[in-house]
Amino acid sequence: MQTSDAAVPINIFFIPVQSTEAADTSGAAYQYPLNTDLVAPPPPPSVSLNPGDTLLKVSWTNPGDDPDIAGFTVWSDPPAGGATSGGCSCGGAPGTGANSYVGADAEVPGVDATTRCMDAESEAEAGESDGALEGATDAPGEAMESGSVEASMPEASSPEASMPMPEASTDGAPEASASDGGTDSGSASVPDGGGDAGAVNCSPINIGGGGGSCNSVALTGKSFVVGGGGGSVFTEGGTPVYDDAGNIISTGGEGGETLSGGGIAEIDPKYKGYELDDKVPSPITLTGLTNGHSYVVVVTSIDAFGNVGPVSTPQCGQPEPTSDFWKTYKGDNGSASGCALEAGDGSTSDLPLFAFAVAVTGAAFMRRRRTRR
Amino acid sequence: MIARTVVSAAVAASVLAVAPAAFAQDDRVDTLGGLHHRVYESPQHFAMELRLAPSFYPDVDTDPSLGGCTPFKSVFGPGKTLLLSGEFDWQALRIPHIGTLGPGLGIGYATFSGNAPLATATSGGCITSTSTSSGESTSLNIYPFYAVAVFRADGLWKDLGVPFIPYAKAGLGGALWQATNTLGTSNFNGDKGQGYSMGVQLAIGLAFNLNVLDPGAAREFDETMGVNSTSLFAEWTDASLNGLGFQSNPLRVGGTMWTFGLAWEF
Repeated sequence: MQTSDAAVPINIFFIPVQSTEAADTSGAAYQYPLNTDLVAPPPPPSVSLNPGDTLLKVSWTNPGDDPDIAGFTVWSDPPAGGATSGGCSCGGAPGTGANSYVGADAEVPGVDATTRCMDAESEAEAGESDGALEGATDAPGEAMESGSVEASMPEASSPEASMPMPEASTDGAPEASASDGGTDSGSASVPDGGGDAGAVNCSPINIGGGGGSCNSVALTGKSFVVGGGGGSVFTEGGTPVYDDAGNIISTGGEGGETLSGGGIAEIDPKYKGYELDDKVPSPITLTGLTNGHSYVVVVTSIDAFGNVGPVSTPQCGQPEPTSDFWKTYKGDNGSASGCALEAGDGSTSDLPLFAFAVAVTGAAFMRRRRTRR
Repeated sequence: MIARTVVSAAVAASVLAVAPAAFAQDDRVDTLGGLHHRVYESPQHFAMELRLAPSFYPDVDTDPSLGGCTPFKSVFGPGKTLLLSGEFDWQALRIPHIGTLGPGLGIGYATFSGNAPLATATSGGCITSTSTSSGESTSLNIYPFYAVAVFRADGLWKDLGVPFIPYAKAGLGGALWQATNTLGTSNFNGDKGQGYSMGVQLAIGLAFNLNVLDPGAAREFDETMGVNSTSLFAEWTDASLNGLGFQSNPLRVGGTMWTFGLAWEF
C-alpha cells in the first residue's frame, strides 16, 4: 500500500493466459501507467465565521503553496433555505461574535486529517477492499463520465477505486472533480469520516456524531462548492440523495443560486491552474440564511483528483441583523429617500427634471452666444 | 531639470489625453478673435481637467432631519476619501484682454466602505454603532456631476505672460448615489438606498501655466497636437447638494473640498 499526497505512478502488469496451456510469463508483461492520488488534502486552517444580516462570511487562512489543493467545499448545517428548527447549538450570546460549536466534538469524524479513512484502507489491505469497491460501484447516482470522476468518489479511498483512467489523469481531472464537487456526481463530494469513526466506507459527515445537540441533523444538504469547473464557480447543491443506510451519496443539484462573496473572481483561475497564492477564495459568503438560527459550517479541501479531504473544525455562527449605512441613516430619521418614493424626493425619476434644467441652461447660453455674434 | 521633467510628463500625458480632439482641428484660424495670438498658437476653444479631491467628505450628517445624529460618521468613521473626477469645458466666448467664458460639464466618483456593525443600540435618539463589526460590508457610492459656467481670466497670461490664471465656476450640481451591502443595494422597509441629489456647484481656483517652464516644449506641443497650454491647478470646490429648491429631502452627498489637478486648453 502506497500512500502519498501527490500523484504517483502505478504500474499494472497483465499476464496473458491460455486456458489449455500453462501460464507463460516470459516477455508477457505489459506496463500500463496510471497516476492516482490516494490521499485527500487537509482542510484549510483557521476557519472562522463572521455573521451578517441573513448571511455568514466564512474565512480561512491561505493554505499556502500547496499543489495538492485544487479547491474547497464549504458545508453548512442546515443549508441555506433549509430548516430553521433543530440544528446545532452555538455557544455565547448573539452579537458577541461567538462561534463556539456546542456538540460532540469528539465524535465529529474526519477532523483529524491524517486518520480519515485509514480504517477503510486498512481493511482494504486486509482483503476487504472488494466491499468498498463494490459499494462505490453500486452507489446510486454514480453515472461517471470518466475515470477521473470515478476516482473522485469518497468511496474511492480504497486504492482500486482511486485509480483514474490515464487520459483523465492527464487532462481533465480538475474539471471533473470540480463539476462533481458536492453537487451532482454521486458521492464524489461527500466528505467521509462517518458518524462513527472507523467506518469502512467513509460514510458521510454527521456533525455531532452520536451525541450532542446536533445529533439529529447531519451535515448534509446543500454544499457550497468553491472552484467548480464548467464555469460554475459557486454552486449551491440541491436535494441530497441518500442510500439505503441513510448516508448521503450525493448532495444533488446543480447550478442553483450564485453566492456572493469576496474572492469569487479568483476562484476559477486558482482551480483551473492549480495555483495557490494570496488569491485563495477566502472569504466567501453564505447567503439566504435565517437570522437568529445557528449554522454549523465546515470547510473541506479537494485535490485535483476530486478527493475530498476531512472537514475543518466545525464553526458555529448565527446570522444577525446589522445596521449598514442606509439602515442607520433611516433609523436616525434621515429624510432622504431612494427609488421607492415619488419624484421630487431624490428618486431617479427626478433625473429628467435635472436633464431639463441642464438643457435649458445650455440653450440659454447658446442663445446668448449667437446674439453676441 | 525638475521643472522640465514635470513639463515633459504633463506633455506626455496630454498627448494621450487630448490627441483625438487635437487632430480634429483642421484649420489654424482663431474665429473667436484671438487678436494677440503668438505665431505658434493654435485656436483655443476647449479645456479639459483631470481632477483629484483627496479630502472629500460628504455633508450627509448635516441633514436637519437627523436631529444631530451622525449616521455617516457612525458607520464610515471620520476618514475622508478621494473624489476622482473629470471636466470638459467649451470656451465659447473670449473676452479680449480678460479671459474666456463658457459651459463645462463634469463627472466624478467616490466611495466610502466598511463593515456594517452588528445590531446597534439607540442612544439619545441616535443609532450608535457597536464595536463589533459583522461579516457584512456596507458602502456608499457617489457619482457627482455638474454643469457650470466657467470663467478663466487668462488675460494676464495672454497679454503679459504671467503664468497664473484665476478662474471661477458656478452652476448646477448633482450626484447619483447608492448605498449597498453584501447583498446588493440596501433596503430599509422597502425604501431602496439609491437615488440622486441636486444642488449648486461653485468653485474658485488658480491655475499655474506650465508653458512658462519650457516654452519650447509647449510650443511644439501646440504645433503638433494643438494644445495651447498645460496647467496645474488648485481649486476650492463647494458642492452644496441640498435640493436646489425643488428636491425636498436629498441625501446630502455633496461637500466642500480642495481639488487639485491638471488642465489642458486646446
